Parts: sequence; C-alpha cells; structure tokens
Amino acid sequence: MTEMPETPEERDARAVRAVRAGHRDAFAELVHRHQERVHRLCVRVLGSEDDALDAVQDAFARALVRLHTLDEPRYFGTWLYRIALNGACTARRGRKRAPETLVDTDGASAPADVRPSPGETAAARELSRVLREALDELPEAQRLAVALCDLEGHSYAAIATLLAISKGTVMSRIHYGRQRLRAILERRLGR
Amino acid sequence: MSASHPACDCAWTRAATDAWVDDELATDQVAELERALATCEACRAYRDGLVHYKALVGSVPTPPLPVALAARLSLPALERRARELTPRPPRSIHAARAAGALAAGFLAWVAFGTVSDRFAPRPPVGAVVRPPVLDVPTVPADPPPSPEALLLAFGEAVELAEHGATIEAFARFERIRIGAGTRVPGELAPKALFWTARLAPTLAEALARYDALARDHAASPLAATALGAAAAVCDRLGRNDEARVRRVALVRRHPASAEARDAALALVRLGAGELRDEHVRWLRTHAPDSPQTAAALRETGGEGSND
Repeated sequence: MTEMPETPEERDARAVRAVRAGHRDAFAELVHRHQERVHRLCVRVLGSEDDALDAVQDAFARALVRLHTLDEPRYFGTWLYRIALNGACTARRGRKRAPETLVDTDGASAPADVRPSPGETAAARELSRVLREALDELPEAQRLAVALCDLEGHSYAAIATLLAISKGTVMSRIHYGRQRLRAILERRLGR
Repeated sequence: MSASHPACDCAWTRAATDAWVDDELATDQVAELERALATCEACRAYRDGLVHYKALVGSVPTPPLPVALAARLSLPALERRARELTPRPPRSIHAARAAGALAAGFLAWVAFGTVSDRFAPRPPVGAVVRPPVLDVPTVPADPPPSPEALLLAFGEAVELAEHGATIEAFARFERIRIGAGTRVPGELAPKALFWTARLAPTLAEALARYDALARDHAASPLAATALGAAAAVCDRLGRNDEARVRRVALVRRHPASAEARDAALALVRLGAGELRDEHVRWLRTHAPDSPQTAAALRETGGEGSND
C-alpha cells in the first residue's frame, strides 16, 4: 500500500518539530517554503521594497524566536503570515514619510534587482500607480481586506483568520471596499 | 444609466455578486443570483463592472523575489535579528530588580551590623547608650502605575501579542487590567480584558472573560463585540443554548451594533417559530437595508413580516 504524500501543512509541522528539537537548520526549509508569499504580502502592505525586506526578515526572526508558542505546528504558515501582516501594518503605521502604498510594482523605488523588466509595459506601471493611489484612499480595514482578496487571492476564510474577524465582516469589507475602490478607479482612469 | 428592477433586492444581489466573482457564493445561492441578475439591469451592470475590475487588478504584476532577500533570511542573519528583536524586560521589572537588590543590601547591612556589634568597642560603663539612628531613607510602598505608564505598557503588550508572544502578552494585559481597574477612566481596562480573552489559553477561560467584559463594562463599545465573541465561543464548545442566550442579550442590549445584526441573523438561522420570526422582524425594523436582513428574508421566505 502506497503512503499518502505529505501535505504542505504536515511538512511544516515536521520542520517546526525539528527546530524545536534543536535542529535549527530545519528552519531554512520553512523559510524556503514561505518566503515568496510573505515577501509579496509585505510589498503589498508597505510598498517600498527596502521596507518590505526589513519586514520579511523581522517576520521570520520573530517566528524563529517565538516558535515555542505556536500551539499547532500544522498552522505555521497562517501563524507566520499573521506575524508578517501585523509587523508590516505596524511598520506602515509607524512610518512617517508619505505616501503610503499597498501596491508598488512600478519599480520607481525598487533596487536594481527588482526593477521591472523591459518587457513590462508602461501601461502596467501606470495601472500599478493608479491602483496604489486608489487603495491608499480606502480606510485600513477595507484596504487590507480588498488587497488580501484581490491582489493576494486569499479566500474569505483565510482573510477572516488573518485579520481575526468573522467571515461576514470580511464579505462586508470587501463589498464596500471594492465599491469605493471602483468609484475611485473610474474617476482616475476616466472610464 | 441602468434601471433597478422594483422586485430586485439590489443590496443582496450586489453583495452576492461580490461573493460570486470570488467563488465564495454558496452553491445553493448561485441560481438565485442568476435569477436576480436576469431581472435587474442595474445589477447586471454592477456585475459587468465588477468582472472588469477583477480583470484589471488581476493584470497588476506581482513583485519578484529580490536577490538581496536570501542573505537576510539565512539562519545566522535571522538569529542575529531575533536577538535584536527580543523585548527587554520593561522598566517596572528593572525597578523591581533594583528595589530587590536594595532590600537585599539593606538586610545584609543590618545583619552585618548585628554581627559586627559583637566586635565593636563596648561603651564605658555608666555611659548613656542611644539607639543608632538609621540614616536610610524610608522606601515607600509601590505607588499605583500612572495612566501614562499603563498606556505605554498597553502598547508594549499589543506589540508582544501581535508578534506571537501570547503568554507574556496575556500576563501583561492582565497586569494592565488590574492596574487600570476603575481608577483609570476610559477604555483601557475593557480593552485589556478583551485582549486577555483573545489570548486566553482555553476556550472556557476566554468565555469567562468575554462574559465579564460584557457584564462589567456594559457601556463600553467592546461590550457588544465581547457578547458576540462569547456566543461564538459557546458555538465552538457546542453549548448551543448558551450561545443563543448571549445572542439574544446582544440584540437587546446593543441594537445599534453590527454584532447585533450578525447575532439576529444567527438567531434567525438557528431558531424556530417565534424566535426566528421575532428576529426577522427585528432585522427589518433595525437594519432594513443590511445584508443580514436581506439574507434573513431570503432564507425564511419573508417570514416575520411587519405587514
């Protein structure tokens, strides 16, 4: 009888247990598996690539030092994502300089290795800029829900867990947030 | 401009359309949405706009993983950063340690003095012996923490909680709650209590704390949230009757809150007969345009009408 392959959650749980048992190197496996998602989230929340680098590192460092407090090793991914989201939101709130951004993929402030490739069109960059500015006009609660859903592709249940709110509240925030966002976009894009 | 159909419940249709584009609409509601869209031109226009919007935001490029990240996420770099981020003991702990050291020093000093007295030169016979004057300042009892100190501590505790230090954060919120008591006006005490409920190690403990918040801080804006959370905890514990009691209390005590609307809808869904009808009527009266009312009417076929 063939064994069922491990799910990503089971792999995470195994790595978490290994780190707790003293095999610190196993944390690299967790980093490898989650860095892309955490990085994308931090870029979405903070906009600036430099700030996002700090936030990603801080999220993993906090996870490393607090790993013993994680009740369910299977849920390492959600737990880490929550740490990253809270850290990025705190950094964003503490940041004095303007403008704040949720979407900044136009490369204007990015270091050389993340600048858009020549293939990326000016239209895509312009869209990023307009969307970023439009999102910044939303209240934080709606902005996070809309960004997590529409830009990060999370389910309502996942967003509810991340933001510690009910699924009904997620639906409501997305619904009203999108209405505002669409009105702003229509005004800015003249459609 | 597209016209709404008079028979269309546009608020529900549009909320459902949002859920539909996200693939989050319940299967049994898709047909209902399609029927609604077929009749209402304005809602069809809303759907088309929403589909266009989703395509637009979907075309925004995703940020690539920067090369510089690998070095920042190496184990030595993370361990170094973790040491920098580890919170230091708060000033109060430093102060307590300092006071402890002072007290220990004082006791040692007294003890040494007692012993050393044996070896001190004895006064001449007949001389008046006066008790030694202790030139040590009296240490006053710890004053209660100031509201400013409590607020500062609250911020630190939130930071700890948000970064996953659940046990330490719980302990600090508990100290803040006790410190604030009734002495510090405002929301500090209920907020700290709310946090201890959120961070409580067991569901039963969380429930007791949510209940205490709803009971002891009934005027706080958090009271409604606490009742809703208590009901949700009861759900998780399988205590359906207790959940219902709390939802009924929520609807009656905090009718203007969003939590009351959710509670009323839950009572409609879980209740039967009079209880269900009563809360359909409640929703129609208190929140006629809310999605919860739309859902309640849809699910009950419009029962509980005021007409």
